Amino acid sequence: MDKNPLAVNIAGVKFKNPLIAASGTFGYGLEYSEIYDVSKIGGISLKGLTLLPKEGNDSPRIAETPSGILNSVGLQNPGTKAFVNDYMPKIKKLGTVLIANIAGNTLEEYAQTAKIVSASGVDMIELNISCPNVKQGGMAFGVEPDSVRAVTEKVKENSSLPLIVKLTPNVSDITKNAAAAQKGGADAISLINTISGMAVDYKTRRPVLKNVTGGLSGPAVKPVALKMVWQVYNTVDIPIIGMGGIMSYTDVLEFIICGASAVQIGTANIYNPTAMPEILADLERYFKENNLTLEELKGTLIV
Amino acid sequence: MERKITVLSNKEIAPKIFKLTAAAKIPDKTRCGNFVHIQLKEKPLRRPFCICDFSRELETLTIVYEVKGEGTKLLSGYQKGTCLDALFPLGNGFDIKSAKKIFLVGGGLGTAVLPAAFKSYEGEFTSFIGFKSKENIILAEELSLGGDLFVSTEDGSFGEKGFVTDCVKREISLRKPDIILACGPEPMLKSLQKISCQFGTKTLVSLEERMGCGVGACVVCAVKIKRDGQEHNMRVCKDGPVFDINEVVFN
Repeated sequence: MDKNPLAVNIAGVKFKNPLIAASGTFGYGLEYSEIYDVSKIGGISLKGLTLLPKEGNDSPRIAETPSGILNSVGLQNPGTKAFVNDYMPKIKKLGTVLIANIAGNTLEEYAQTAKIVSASGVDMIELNISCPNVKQGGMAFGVEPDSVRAVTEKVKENSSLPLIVKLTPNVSDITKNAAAAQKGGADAISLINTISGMAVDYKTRRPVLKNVTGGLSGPAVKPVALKMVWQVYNTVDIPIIGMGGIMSYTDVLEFIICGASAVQIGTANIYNPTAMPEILADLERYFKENNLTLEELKGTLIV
Repeated sequence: MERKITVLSNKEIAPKIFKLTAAAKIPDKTRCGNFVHIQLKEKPLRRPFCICDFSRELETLTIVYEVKGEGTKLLSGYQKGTCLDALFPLGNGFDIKSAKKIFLVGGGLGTAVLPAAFKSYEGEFTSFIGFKSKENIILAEELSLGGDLFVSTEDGSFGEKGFVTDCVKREISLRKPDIILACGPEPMLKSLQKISCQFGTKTLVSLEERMGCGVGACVVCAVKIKRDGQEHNMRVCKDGPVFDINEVVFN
């Protein structure tokens, strides 16, 4: 039997491996497809979409921090109409699982966006209720468990696609939000989004980011992410997609051991455009050498 | 896309301004206005630098940079033989179409964009470069090899006293260029925008912004560009770094 040890099925969607590009770090996949064959990777969580086009925040939108970066893009995106008409015809040809990441200001906006992207040819939806960089970018829905449940239910009513709910770590108890997403009908949970933070220039006494605050990502957040993935794994029954500072195949293994079925890779793409195929090659070698499958390793943390 | 460069020389050519030349295979499509995204050994977030000059025959790539923060300080310490992960050529570069009479205009460190023009285009070049003072002048020799050169300093310690744009304004009606290629600080670009409008001369300008991926995916390096009567945030790394000066929305 030559079963692919890295294959994973999440809510009925088949991924050839557990490496998914994290939303906001991979555009709509088209830029990286000029650099390598992106059909190699498990999937792409596409750049966050809103019903109408959004210009995002003013620059600077990025700041370097110890072991990470802060960003404050502010959900700049072309809106659902341009996404469906101009982007999807090209994105469909990439040959990997496509996940539309959607954000909004109101329940109705989430509902309409979900309806439109569901008919666009994507395989799944990731509900972004955790963007820290816009005043009403869904973060309002991501903090309180009741509103997490309400927005999850609303999107489920308006889409038949499998739904991933992406959680913010900027809450008092993430397990409550994970449980609320599951109750609302989520098919999977992804975590963590960036941790809210800021960078300051002591010489100018100004924040480095124009938006003052931003979202921290990169190796600095990995310990927080691992803890939260493990906590959520012990709380819900639905699959978990873990993310936060994954830079190498050993980082991937750690997330799988803590209970993730798959992972998303974000900041690593920004540092190195070929990070994902490089991590994948290492991961394939590891599973082959150890005669293991992803499923066998999942949630095997010994405590 | 090329990924590796090896430092051949790295020396200070004016106060805090360094010129780094590296061994590098130069892809055919490389042209003036492209940039190189360099990963430092100590810091994973890449730093973008315009390609100052290149040689396909000698297989060399040159950047000129100012030591301003931690990254450029580290870079200035790299000795001959240091191998670096460097993505290039990135960005659109200057598209001069069929222009033949070309003005190159640089203010301060912006001058670093210009020398690659001689390797990229055929035409009649006139260069204009401006600096604060004599000690800050860079790349004058390189630019003098490609055509006439006008140097200005704000304090009059070398060349013409005043701003580089004063010189451009005077020569533009005499030499009637087809196109102006420019890079420099915002006040210079604003002034150049007015000159471009007044004389109706197509002017392309290379911009910069804090950058992430360098390939257009993370949408971090946004600049305001006016198109079809509306302002849009566009990516310096992928839509630029070169834009038509009349589309640029200055602060």
